Amino acid sequence: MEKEAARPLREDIYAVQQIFVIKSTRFELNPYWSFTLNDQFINHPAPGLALNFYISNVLAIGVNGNYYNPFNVDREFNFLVRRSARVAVPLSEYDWSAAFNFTYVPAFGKFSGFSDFIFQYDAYVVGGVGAISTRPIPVIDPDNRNPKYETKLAFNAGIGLRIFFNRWFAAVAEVRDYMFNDKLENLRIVPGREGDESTWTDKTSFTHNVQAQVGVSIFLPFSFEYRLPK
Amino acid sequence: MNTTKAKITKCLLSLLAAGAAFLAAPERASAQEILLTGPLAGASSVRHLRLYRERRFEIAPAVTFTLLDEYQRTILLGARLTYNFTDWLGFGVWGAYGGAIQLPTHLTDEIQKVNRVRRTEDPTTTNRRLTAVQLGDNFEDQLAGMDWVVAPQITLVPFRGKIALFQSIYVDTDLYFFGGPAFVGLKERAECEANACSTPESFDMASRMAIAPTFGLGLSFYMSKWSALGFEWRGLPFSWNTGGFDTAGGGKDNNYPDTAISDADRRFHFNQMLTVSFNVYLPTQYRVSE
Repeated sequence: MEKEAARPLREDIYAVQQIFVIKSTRFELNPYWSFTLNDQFINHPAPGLALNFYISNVLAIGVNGNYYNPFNVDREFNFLVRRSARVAVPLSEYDWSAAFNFTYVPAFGKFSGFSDFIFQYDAYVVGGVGAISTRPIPVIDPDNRNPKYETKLAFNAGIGLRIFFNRWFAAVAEVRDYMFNDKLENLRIVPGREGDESTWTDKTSFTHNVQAQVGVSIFLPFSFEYRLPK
Repeated sequence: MNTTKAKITKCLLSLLAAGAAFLAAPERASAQEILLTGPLAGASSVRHLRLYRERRFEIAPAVTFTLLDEYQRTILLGARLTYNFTDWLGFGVWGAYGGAIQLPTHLTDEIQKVNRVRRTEDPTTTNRRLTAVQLGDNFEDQLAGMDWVVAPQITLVPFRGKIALFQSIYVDTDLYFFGGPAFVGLKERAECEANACSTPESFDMASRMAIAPTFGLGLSFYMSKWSALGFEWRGLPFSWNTGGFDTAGGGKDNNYPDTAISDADRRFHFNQMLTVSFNVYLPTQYRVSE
């Protein structure tokens, strides 16, 4: 300690440090890839993009969208259940989704890594409303049924963690639940009306599509000004 | 045509220029720059760090919830006991009992709903014949379960920091990784020979122990000198027959049912779970770094 104390003083070391990243009045561009977390039968991975504008340092408004269409994957588990139990489970595939969101950042902090370097992070909650386009995958009568994609009202809520590499670039991991009323395939075939679209679906089911979203955040403009001096 | 191309090029260039101008706003203030010289040069990133772990025991009663289960969810009740040699290295064991709380999923309810109706039909119907090996009277009774887990493990704590909640509550926290072997007590549908697996007795359950790697990461939020709240994610991958089905053992590449229940019917599952714990540290007083 004496050796440390003997070193020359640097006048630009401050007792109170400023917050590392000011987000207020900046845009956040967040490209990500999402993975399905809760559907054993069909996976709906998708690339996505979010754009947020921070009204204050902790509150943002924004939009995000996911493009699922070419990426829906029928899992082996679906086949095994059908073969073993002879039970057909109605399936849906997704086309796209878009939502208007609010983001709130209640927690931020910093970690010392290996007692050698420091990095900053924040945790946020996000929620919003939008739309999702889905359709049933015909399982009961695939020869006659070919439903079109339909758009449904969708709500979403999630939590996320952002780790900052510098003042404008961060890694983001988020878990978000997209909730909507999905139209399911009719488990019965109406004799003589196999081609009638109105008989292809019957009940709706409140569906949770929980997905992990992993990506990066780019804050624009890259630089910012502190309101008060150090 | 050339005029159109020129217009498009001009338009694109204008957009690029506008974007560049937008992004190139001058940086007039800076803070917390890394000081490569002066009194902080070469110094550790934190001074007077509260060493919550060093040379302390951690006793952590914990509740663990399995995730993404196909047929049955398990809530395991247990505890983690760790001795931390340093603030970044510990060795301990996690043990939990899962036999008490096992809850069927919606899929299980749906399968049993169909099964119940099917059991009233003539045994010679196609559905009855094709599921004779697969489904007993009650589907829930043939589901595999994780009865207990014991996992000795090494804990590494590379990240230590703090978190500010609502800019008013400040909590010390650490992020740790752990790994080791796990011994898992399983209850699974008992093995039976081909063509002998459709009797009621063939749906009896048997116990076995699986040995698997386990690993994960967790966060500790220190509430006092001797206590913390912990959240942990754990992976525990191994093969087991979760539904008690005959799915393999016959046909090409053994990928088809063979009317027997055997280890060929076990499928690889990347089992995942979340743990919430209340951590108590002994002795109750922590050390402080230089």
